[in-house]
Amino acid sequence: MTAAAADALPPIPHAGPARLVTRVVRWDASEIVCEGRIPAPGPWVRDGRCPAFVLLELAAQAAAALDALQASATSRGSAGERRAAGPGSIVRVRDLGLSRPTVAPGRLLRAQVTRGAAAPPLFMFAVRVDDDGGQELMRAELALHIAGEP
Amino acid sequence: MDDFEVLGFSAAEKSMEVSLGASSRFFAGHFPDHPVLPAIAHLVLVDTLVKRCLGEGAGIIAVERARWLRPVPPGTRLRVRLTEARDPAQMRFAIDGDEERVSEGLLTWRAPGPE
Repeated sequence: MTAAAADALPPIPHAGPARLVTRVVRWDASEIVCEGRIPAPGPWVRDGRCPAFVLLELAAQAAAALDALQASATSRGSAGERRAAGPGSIVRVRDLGLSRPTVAPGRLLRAQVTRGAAAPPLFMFAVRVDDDGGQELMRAELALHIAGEP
Repeated sequence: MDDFEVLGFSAAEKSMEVSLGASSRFFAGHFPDHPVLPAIAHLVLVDTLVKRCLGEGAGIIAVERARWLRPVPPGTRLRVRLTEARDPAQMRFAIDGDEERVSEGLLTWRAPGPE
């Protein structure tokens, strides 16, 4: 493992209600596990429920955090500062499956992201989001365009 | 949700025109100095159209494939469309801006009913 970053705030540019990932549980060069929540009230909640496909954003933020953490680890200077990711965006998704159409906002979620092929600035990831009981809620393959350091 | 304004809707054409103002919560924090419509907001628009066409309990249950082709800034008007796919459980979607397509894909929808 390159680094363990339990309790670290993920180095991503999302702010306010857009920030779904709240904690990096662990990461290494190929995989990251993050915790997060869908905020309520928030833009993704309607009548007390949230469409389950919103979990894709949680997974994408975890993937962006993995990229930023690894970039920081490989280019870290003596100050040991972590590099914040520049704005990234989801450009492609395949085989996004949901175990249910909606999820309850506010519940603890866990995103597990595994790095796949890369052709910078495009990065592929296999992603999965579980509820706090370990039940799978969403699975997908996604491609992110990550601009790098702003 | 008042995060977008529906300017027009056609059940026959399975299409909807929407406006996304700068005050939409979709843009809040995404990103602080560079607001861009999140990818999942595209899916919210598509899911809204699915519900309008098929019933409030209908919705997206899978996305076989989707592409986001260009960023959507605040103040954009979009046209969302659904078209039939080979599999009746699936539909194609496309979202167009004034001149260019911004996203497209193939989804599986669920009929209205208990989760």
